[in-house]
Amino acid sequence: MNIVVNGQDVETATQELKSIVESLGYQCNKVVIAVNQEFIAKENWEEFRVAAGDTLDVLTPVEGG
Amino acid sequence: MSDEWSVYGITLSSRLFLGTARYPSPAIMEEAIMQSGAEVVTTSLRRQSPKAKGGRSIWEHIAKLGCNVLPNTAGCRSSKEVLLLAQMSREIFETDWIKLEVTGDEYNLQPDPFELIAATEELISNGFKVFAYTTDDLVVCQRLYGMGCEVIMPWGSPIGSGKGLINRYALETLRDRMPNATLLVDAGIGLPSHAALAMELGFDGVLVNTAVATADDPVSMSIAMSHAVKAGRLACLAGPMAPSDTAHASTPVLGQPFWQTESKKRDSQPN
Repeated sequence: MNIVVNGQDVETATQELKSIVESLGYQCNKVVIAVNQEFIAKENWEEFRVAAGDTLDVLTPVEGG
Repeated sequence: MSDEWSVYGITLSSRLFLGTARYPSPAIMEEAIMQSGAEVVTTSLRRQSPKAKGGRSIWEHIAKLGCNVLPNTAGCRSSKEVLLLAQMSREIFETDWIKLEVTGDEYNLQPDPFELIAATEELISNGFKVFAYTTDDLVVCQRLYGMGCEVIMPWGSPIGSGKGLINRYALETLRDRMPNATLLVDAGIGLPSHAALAMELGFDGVLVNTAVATADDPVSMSIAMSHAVKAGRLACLAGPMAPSDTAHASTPVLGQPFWQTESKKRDSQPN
């Protein structure tokens, strides 16, 4: 199925959020996730199922003012 | 001089908060923060490319400083966006502190007071400790404080402008009318003298980023800012003199030397 990750179209074979994050090459302990602009706590990644067309925002700490 | 204070229950010695953006390099940022003695630094969250794998290295430098991290919501334009970013920040930074920024105007990055109020209500009801970046509008600041926002951070002037405290009257009014609130000047400070003035006016602290990060020598500037904050704070506690419209001789008049009287006599004699 196709989903959108950080504004880019991505094809994924699984619906499990944690597997998707890992398959994209992210380090799970260094990113936070929102799906369709809803925060998904890390403890829920394994049970959360992503649907076709969902949008993921994968964020990481950066410098800020 | 020990001048400890507390912010949301955390005891601090320094009254200088530093931003972590726009430094020439992570190493210079790290050195500038260490040399300044700042104990609170601001951070943010941005999208992560999977190619970056472990994330951007700047965070490693920030984390190892051991400072209190104050994540911001820079770039948000609605209370909904703010709450989402704050929730994500809380998980990754492991803090319920949040520097609330909601932009209402792109030109001067002026905070949106209406969304600010709505976002503050949402954040506090979700357990966040809010540091609200706002304009110097008294009523907005009073409203924020009344909602339970303990730390209010009015701008000195627009973010990154370096123009200093462009509305001193408004800032003095805030301090006078809100004596129990924790007030920090955030944004617009371009020189140590600006930071010193904020402290002289009775503000509890200042938050500086661009003035330090974009100086030719950020490390020296961070030290200068630190000294300025301490000087301004000490001056405030010392009780500054009241300004006067007329001159007052500082040297005693009593016992003034004879020549002034003699010169007057000489001037009055006919030629």
